[in-house]
Amino acid sequence: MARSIVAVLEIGTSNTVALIGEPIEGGRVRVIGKGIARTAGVRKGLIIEIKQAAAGVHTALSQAEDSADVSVGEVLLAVSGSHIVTTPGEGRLPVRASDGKVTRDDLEEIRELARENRPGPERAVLHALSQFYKLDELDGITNPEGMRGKQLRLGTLFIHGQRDRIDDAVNLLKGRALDTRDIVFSALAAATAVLTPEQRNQGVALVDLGGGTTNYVVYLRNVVVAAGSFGIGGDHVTNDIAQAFSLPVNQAEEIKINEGCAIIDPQRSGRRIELPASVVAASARSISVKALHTVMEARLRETLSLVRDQVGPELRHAGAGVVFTGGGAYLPKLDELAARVFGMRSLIGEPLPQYIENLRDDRVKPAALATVSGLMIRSAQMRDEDNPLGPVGMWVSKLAKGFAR
Amino acid sequence: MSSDTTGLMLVGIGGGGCRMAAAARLAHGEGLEAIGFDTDEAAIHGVSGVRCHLIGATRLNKQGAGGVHSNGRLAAQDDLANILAQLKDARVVVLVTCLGGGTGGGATPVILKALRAEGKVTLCFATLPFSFEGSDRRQIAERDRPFLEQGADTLVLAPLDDLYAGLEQTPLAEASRQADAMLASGIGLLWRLLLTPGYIGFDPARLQNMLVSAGTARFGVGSARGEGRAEAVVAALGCTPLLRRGEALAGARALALGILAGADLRLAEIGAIMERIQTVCRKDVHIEMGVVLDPCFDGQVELVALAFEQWVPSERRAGVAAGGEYGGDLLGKDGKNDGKLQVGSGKFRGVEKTVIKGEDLDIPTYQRLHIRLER
Repeated sequence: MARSIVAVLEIGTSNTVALIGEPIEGGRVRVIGKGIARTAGVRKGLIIEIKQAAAGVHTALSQAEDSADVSVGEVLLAVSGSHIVTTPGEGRLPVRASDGKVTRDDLEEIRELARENRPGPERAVLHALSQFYKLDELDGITNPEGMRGKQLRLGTLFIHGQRDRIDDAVNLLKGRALDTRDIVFSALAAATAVLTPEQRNQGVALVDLGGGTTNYVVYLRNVVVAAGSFGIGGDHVTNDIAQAFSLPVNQAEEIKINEGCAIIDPQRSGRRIELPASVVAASARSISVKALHTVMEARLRETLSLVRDQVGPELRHAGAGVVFTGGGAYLPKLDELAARVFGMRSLIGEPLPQYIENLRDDRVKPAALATVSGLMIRSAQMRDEDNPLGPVGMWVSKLAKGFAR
Repeated sequence: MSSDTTGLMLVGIGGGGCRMAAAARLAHGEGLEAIGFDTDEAAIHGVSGVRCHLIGATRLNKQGAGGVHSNGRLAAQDDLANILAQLKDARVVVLVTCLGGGTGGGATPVILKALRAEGKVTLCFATLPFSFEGSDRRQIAERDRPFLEQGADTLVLAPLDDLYAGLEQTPLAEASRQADAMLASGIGLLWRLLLTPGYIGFDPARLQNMLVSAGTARFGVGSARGEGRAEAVVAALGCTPLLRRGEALAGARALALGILAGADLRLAEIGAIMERIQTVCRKDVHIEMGVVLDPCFDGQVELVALAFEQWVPSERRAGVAAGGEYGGDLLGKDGKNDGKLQVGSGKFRGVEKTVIKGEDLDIPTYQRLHIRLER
C-alpha cells in the first residue's frame, strides 16, 4: 500500500458505518472515505441474520472505498452487546530489592501477573486494563516506582465478550475477504475520540446511547475503572412508543425523533400530535405529547439508572460529569434527566477536532460517529507506534493467538 | 386423568429431576401425569413410578453425561423430536431438575426453548447444589442458571442449602430423603390444588396466566393443625427457608396461594389466612387464591405459595400481545401474533430477552411501572 491507510467498521444496530483514513502529523487522522448504511439483521448489537448484516457491511464499505478511491483488506472493528462484561484480576508480588524499593522490573512483572487470571476459554478478552497499584496498605498509586514496601499489588480490568458472538462478526468480514485487525469495545473507542485528557484525569463517565445497546466506560485519574454494555437502546424507546399508542414502528420512530423529549416538557405538554389515517388506524386520531414524553422518560430514566447502579459508588468521583455519545445523545432535555439521575452535569460528546478531521457528514450527527472515530484514532496510533512491545505488541500478539486466551 | 384433559404435565430431567418427579407423584398419586428424561440407563432403572426415557443413548452410551453440560445439551438435541412428542398434549409443562450436573443443566435449556417455540408455557423448578459440594458444581450451576431464566416462563430456584436448613444434624441419607420429599410434596400439593375441583378453583389456566415470561418465583409450603391453625399456617409458611423466611413473601409482586384443607375448614379461617397474608405482603400484591377441600387433610391446613418477583396484569398483557401486532415491523414477517404469551414482542422477537435482576426489560417501562398514560 503506497499510503498508510486505516479502515474501521462498526456494525451498529441502526447503522453500519465504515471509515477510511490516513494518519497525519501529530498523531491525528484525516478521514478520506465514509460509508453509512442502514443495518438489518442486527438486534441489541448482536448479529442475528448474517446475510442481512453482511449486506449493510458491503454497502458501507463500498461507499467508503469509492469515496476514498482505495480498497481495504483489513479493518478495526467495534463490538457491543450485553455479552460484553468485565471481571477484575489481580497480581501480587513481594518487593524483591533489599532496600524494599519498588523497581521497574517489579512493575513489569506484576503487570504480567495481573493479566494471568483470565476469564474462561469461551470468553474473548478484548482489553486487559491496568488499575491502580497498591503497596501494602496504600491504595490508588499510579506509579509506585522507588516507593518502599513489602507487597505490591495491581488490579486488572478484563473487558471480554462471548467468543461465539464475536466470531460471528469476524466471520462475516472474512466472507468479504476482510481481515479483522483488532476488536475494540465500542464505548472505549468512543472515549478515545471524545474525551480530553483533562476529563479522563478528573473522572468522567461516558455513556453511549445506541440503537440496540447502551454502553458505558468510567475513567478515574486516567484509569478505566468500570465498563459495560446492556441490550437496551433507542429501539426500546421506539418500541415502547409503538406499544403505548398502537403505532407501527417506523411511525413511532418518526414521532420519537420529531416530538421526543427525555423528560416531560412542560412547554409542550398541553399539545396533541395529529396522526393521519393509516393502515393501522382507519381514521385520523391524535396522541398526547405529555403521554409520549411520559413513556420516553420512564424508559430513559430506567436506562440511565441501570448505568448508575452498575457503575456503583465510583461514579460519584467522576468530577467531569457524564458525556453522552451515540444517536441518543441529542435527545432534547437529556441533560436535565441526567442531572436528576446522576446528580451531575452532562455534555454531548462529539469527536474532537484535535484528533480527527474531515469527519462531518450530513446523514449522521457527530456524536453518533464517536465509536468509529475512536477506532480510527486508535488504528492510526497503532500504525504510528513502532515499539513492538508497546500497546500494539499486545494487540498483535492477541490477534496472533486468535483471541485464544 | 391424563394430560389430555388437564393440559398439565410434570417432567423430570436428569437423575435428580427424575427422582424428584417420582417423589412428587408418590406424594400426590395417580392424577399426576409425570415423565422423565435422563442420559443414564442405570439411574433410570432406579426410579419407580414415573416413565423415564433415555436420551442421547447413542452419543453417551447410556452412561450419563458425566457432569458435562455439552453432553446433556447434545443428548437433548439428538432426541428432541421424541421428547416433544411425549409432551405434545401438554399446555403447561412443569419441569423439575437439579443444577450442577450435566444432564439437568445441559438438556433443560434445550427442552425449554423447544417448548416455548411450540407455544407451551413452562414453569421450571431447579435445585442449586449445596455450598459444601465445592465451587465446581456451584459454578456449573451458576453458569447454567441464566439459560433456565431465559428459557422458562417462570423459574423457581430451590437452593439445597435452603431445603436442608434445620436438618444439619440429621444423618445425610435421611436429610436427603426429607429434603427431596419437602420439594416433591410441595409440587404434589400444587398438583392437587390445580387438579382437584375446588370451592374456589385454581385451575391450570389460571396458573398459566400468572407465569410471566422470564420471571422468577419462590415456592414454599406451610402446614398447621389444631386450634388457631389459620394463623399458624401463615406463620409456618413465613418460616419456610425456601421462601427466604418470609422475605420472598414480603417482596412478591404476585402470589399464587392454595389452601388445602379437610371438610372442617371454616369460612372465617379462610378470611383469617388471607388477612394474615396481606399483612406480610406488599400492599399492591396481586393474589390468586384457590381452596381445595379433601378428606385426607381433615384437621389440618396446608398452604402452598408461589411468590412471583414480577407481575404484569392481564389487561396489560393484552396490550403487550397487541404490540406484537402493531409494534412489530409492519413490513416484517416477525409481526405476526399467534395469541401466545409473547412478552418482549415487537422489535425484539427472536432475540434474547434483556433480563436484568429478573425483570424483562423488553416490556415497556411504563407498563412495568403501571404508569397511566393521558389519552
